[in-house]
Amino acid sequence: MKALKVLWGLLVDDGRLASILVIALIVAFICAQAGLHFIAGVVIWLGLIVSVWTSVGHQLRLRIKLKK
Amino acid sequence: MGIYGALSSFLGTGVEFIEALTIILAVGAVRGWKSAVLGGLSAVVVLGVLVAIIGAPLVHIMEVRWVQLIVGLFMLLFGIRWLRKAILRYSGLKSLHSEADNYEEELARQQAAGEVAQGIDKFAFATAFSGTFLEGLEAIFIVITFGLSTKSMGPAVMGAAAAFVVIALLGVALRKPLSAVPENTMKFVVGVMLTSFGAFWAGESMKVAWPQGDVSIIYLIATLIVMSFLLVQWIKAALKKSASVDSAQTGVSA
Repeated sequence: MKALKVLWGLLVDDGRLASILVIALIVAFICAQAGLHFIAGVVIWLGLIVSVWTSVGHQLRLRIKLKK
Repeated sequence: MGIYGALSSFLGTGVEFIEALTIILAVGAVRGWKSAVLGGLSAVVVLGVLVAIIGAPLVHIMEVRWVQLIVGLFMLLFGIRWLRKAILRYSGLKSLHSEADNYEEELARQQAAGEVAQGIDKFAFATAFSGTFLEGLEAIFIVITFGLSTKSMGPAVMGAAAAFVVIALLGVALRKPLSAVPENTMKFVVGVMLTSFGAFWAGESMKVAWPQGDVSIIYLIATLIVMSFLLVQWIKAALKKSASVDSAQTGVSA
């Protein structure tokens, strides 16, 4: 458990980014199991974009809020 | 038949070796060559031992999907973290000149995790090892498949060995020019590479249908580069707008 916590801390800087990514991977897995192999690929592809965009966008909002 | 087997093996394994080299070069340029090269070489040794002990039945014993899933998730999470940081630096949300602080912070974190020992960067080692192991495993499967199907195992092994030497020499030649690339640019490139490879492998393990197979890695790389560019432009514009609003408000209150 401790090893997992250490690994999680080292790999993940932002929980928002990691959680969106993990959800996208789970959805992709379900799609692939349901035979929607191409859709699964699109879900992973979108997951990458949405997770990074959301995480960086959040940082921007924090910065602007901090300035005010 | 022999030449066909050798050539097919050379081309097939060459692609896998280039992918492994990309990861070793990227990790080596950012985290240190010693750990990255050691990680890559260790994977080669482990694979060599596996082939020597098990031989051709390795194809049936080794479950590539599990290796792809574990390595893919590791690289994806690690890569996207670097990509995010590089975007934050490019856009001005994180200082480009705080590398020394970041290094100290990272070092303290790694030391707390028991990560830095005897000059070996465990992250660099693990990333290079896992990437090389997976690509090497795929290369071995290619050699065994071509060797058995064309009944020319000798030439197929020779073809793979030739590809290995050519790609290794390419790596040595590229090492120096890569060291001259600015740090944040290199981290961005590594982030894009690891995220793309990681997403691709994680998808492969789930039997995702990637358009045109391995070529999808290039599509993923292109998407991440375009997305990063748009994100950086958007943030720069938002920060500029926020700064001008602030200065206007200061002017009004004064």
